[in-house]
Amino acid sequence: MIFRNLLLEARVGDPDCISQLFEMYRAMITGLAKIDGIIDEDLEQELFITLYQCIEKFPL
Amino acid sequence: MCPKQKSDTDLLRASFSKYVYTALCNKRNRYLSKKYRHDRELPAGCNEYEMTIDDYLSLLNSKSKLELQLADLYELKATLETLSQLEQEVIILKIFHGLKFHEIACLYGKNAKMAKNTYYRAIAKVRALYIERGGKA
Repeated sequence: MIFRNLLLEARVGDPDCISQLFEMYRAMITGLAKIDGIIDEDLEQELFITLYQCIEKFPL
Repeated sequence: MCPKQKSDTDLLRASFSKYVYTALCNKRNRYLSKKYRHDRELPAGCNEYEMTIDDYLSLLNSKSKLELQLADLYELKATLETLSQLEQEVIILKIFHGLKFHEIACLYGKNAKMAKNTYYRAIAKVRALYIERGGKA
């Protein structure tokens, strides 16, 4: 599936597309959620919410 | 998928990755500022994500962790500025942010090998140019 379609499907709530995008950015989020080498779970959760907001707001 | 379509997909993905990365970094900074607002010392690296390439280059001049003479720093700064935007960004993400190659690759919608190659190519360029300009290896 091309990336534009993946984003569009995720926007309308397709769970497969959303989880595919979450998997794609999981490493980045985990890396950013580390504070002094330890994962801050609250921050990680906030970052996943931000990713979801990005999917909705990204101008296509 | 035709080559043009593939290229458009890659561009869109890279653009989305940068958008996501910026949003995540801003969120992280806001979260940490709120969490540690009563502490004088923030955890290492929490303010670094909103810095630009120019800020990093000026940081090299002002408080580099490297034990280099000022003249060497100017040489190093000039050398870094000769690199392409991508090479500068990869070096900054790798060295200053400590991101792994697969995380950098994710930002640009490429594979980890591309990030690794770009990083080592840039380092080799910096080393060669820096020595050529008269700096110590």
